[in-house]
Amino acid sequence: MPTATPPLSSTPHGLAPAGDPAAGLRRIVAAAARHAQVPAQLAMAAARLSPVETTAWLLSLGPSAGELLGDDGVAELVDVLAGQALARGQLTLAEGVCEAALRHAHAVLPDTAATLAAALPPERRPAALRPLCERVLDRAPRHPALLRAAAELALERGDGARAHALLDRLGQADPSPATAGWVASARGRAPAPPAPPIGVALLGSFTLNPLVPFLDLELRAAGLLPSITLGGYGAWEREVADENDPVWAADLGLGVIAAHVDDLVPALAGDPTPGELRAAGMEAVERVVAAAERFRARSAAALAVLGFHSAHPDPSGPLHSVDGRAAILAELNRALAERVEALPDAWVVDLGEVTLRRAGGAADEPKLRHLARMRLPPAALPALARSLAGIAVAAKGLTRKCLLLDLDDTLWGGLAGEDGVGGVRLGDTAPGSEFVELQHALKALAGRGVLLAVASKNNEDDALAVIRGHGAMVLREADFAALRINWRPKHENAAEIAAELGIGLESMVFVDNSPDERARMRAMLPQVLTPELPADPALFRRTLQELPQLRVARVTDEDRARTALYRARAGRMQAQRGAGSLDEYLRGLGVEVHVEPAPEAALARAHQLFARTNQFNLTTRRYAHAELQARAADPAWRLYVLRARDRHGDHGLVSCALVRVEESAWTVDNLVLSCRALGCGVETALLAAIGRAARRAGATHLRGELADSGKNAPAHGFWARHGFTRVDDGSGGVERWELALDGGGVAAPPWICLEGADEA
Amino acid sequence: MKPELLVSRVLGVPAQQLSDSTSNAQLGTWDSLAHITLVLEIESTYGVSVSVEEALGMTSVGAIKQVLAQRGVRW
Repeated sequence: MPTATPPLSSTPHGLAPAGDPAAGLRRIVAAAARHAQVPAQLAMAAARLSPVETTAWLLSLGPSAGELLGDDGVAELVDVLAGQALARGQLTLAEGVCEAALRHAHAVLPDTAATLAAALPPERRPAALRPLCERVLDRAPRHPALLRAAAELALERGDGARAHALLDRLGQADPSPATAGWVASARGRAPAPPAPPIGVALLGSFTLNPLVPFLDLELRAAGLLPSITLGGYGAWEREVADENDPVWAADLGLGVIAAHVDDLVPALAGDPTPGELRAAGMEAVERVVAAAERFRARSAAALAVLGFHSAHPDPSGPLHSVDGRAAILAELNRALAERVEALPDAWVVDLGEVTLRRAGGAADEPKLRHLARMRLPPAALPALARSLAGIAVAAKGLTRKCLLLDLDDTLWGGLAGEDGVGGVRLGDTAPGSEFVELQHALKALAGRGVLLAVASKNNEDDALAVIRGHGAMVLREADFAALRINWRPKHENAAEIAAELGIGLESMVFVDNSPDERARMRAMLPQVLTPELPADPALFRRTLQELPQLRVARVTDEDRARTALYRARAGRMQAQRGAGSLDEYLRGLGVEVHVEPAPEAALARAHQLFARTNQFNLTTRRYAHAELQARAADPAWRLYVLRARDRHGDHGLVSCALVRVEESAWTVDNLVLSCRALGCGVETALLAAIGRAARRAGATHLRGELADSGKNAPAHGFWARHGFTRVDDGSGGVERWELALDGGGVAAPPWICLEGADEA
Repeated sequence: MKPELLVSRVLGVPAQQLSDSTSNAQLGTWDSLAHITLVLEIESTYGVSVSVEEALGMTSVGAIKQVLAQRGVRW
């Protein structure tokens, strides 16, 4: 409750409220109005002191309120009153505010109407609220909060047609992922509008989930009723080969194959030669074309294939070189278009155009074009200038010859001395993948003649253990021209390395995540170039790649073996094409797996797999890192890990299992499989290896369990599929399964080459 | 930020020398390129989008304020 009324004591009339403060206020306002004094401020003060009285006053005022307060004043007054009513939880007052607002709907702010609509409980929603929202919406047709509130109102009263129309407008007005997601989920609460249905299958090599709500929105805006099926992560090739896959269940009108060239040609992260890039790229084209042809053989639906557009820059810089990355990607896209367009109703989408020319995108500058004949958007100017500087630096022979690199938190995450080989962050998932990417870029620079050297404050043994022993290191000892791993100041090491390599200090670039080390180097050796680095290691790569002083704009040699290589690879791929069976496809994939008891270095990844996997997870038992470590060393347990590779590359550690070992029977406590390896049968190979090891150890039975977590549907049926018999009574929620090993155990799939585990 | 301050920063003229009637004809530094910079700065500072026609008409401090006021911008 307010106790003091400072705005009143300073009114021009010197009136003070007597008795009932609200009544006094009303008199003040009325007096002020009569004398044409600034009533807006007074009205605002009154609204805060006595919202009920002020609302009544505003209701009684009618159209003259606009003359008195101005439309802005009315809008602000209504907003204050609404805020007061909602803050005090006075629903009757809120009803009055809605009435008053409706009377002055031409002035009410969209935010005020949206706040009222969102905050009032459905059962106490005043009759004036809906017409208020509608009238304000007429004035502010693209106001997201109001559109959302109005859509909620329409959904609650079951007006599906109106709800869909408002959701369409909301999605267009606020194209953010959060809003698109809300719009898509809100659709489910309204009956489907009468529109021609269309089934859509999205098959891709990367995360496409965020595209789904936008696609839903655009298809509806185009007058269709979409039903979108999203394929498994990275499973596009298997799904297109598998006639039983759910993506075929929908009544397909559109298929999308979204295989990203960075997934198909991992070498793009580094510095492949033109010949290597062409060969790997053509192989990628063949894979996508094979998928498109399989799709076409199964469905008559329209097919959109995403073209190739890489997130990795050409290490030479943004140049149109005859054998540069842009030229080769253009060749690949042309080959892709030729082959895909040969299929009926199939198109290739130009991803580069989509990202450059989208509204607000880098190339979308109509205003500057018309105002100033500027052809280049301001946002592109720094990068263009930097690349021109790179050419000038190279022409002047000022390109730096040596990169002096820190190790901890620069080349890998964490500290070699504290975290050890198994603990530093470096691998194919974040945190760690950003350092791998940086190392690839550094290796690319080394391949162009820039020397890499190390200056790290560490115990030499600790750091070398990571460089030599970590499986994900891209740079090894041999990649460094000089190593100084010690506790001396880095500028001393820099000077020593420069002397050793016979280069000047002005040829060096020092890269260290520590601002202190950078400041010290700048102070001690200003000749060494010490660029500022962003705090996020994921941005180190771009900073270094854009540095003009590291631009080696080498004109690459034509790879003489290019044509022969291209033909050989293309020929091999040719044999695999066509709409063959899943089995044929898997055989062609050449899957090789290696199973072994987890070595120390694999524990972190195994822990991560158990902790993060939800889909293919038999019992969803999670284990603490220390627990796994103890079990791995305990003869009563076995922790198996499986690495997989196929002709397209190494997938790393994708599956693991913890097994309880007893004399007569081994029991699989849990087995998990990374979702990126689903569908190739590697889980069967792991089970086969475990069965083999159990039999070898003299066990007669292999046992396993399955607990439905609500998320692990892909794991259901695992035991039955491998010939196990269910032995529990159905109570307790955990299924128990058993297999007698005298019948030969479990066979690995015929298309998988299984190595290891026998010695276990 | 007051529009005068923004204009002063872009054109390098002390803010107290600017009034609503100050126009591009009176200021030597307010040339066509500076005008583009001014339009871009106004758009990013106040979070508004100015049409080509409006941008061409924003040739005085007062005209700039008028366009901003139409957008509901207060300063």
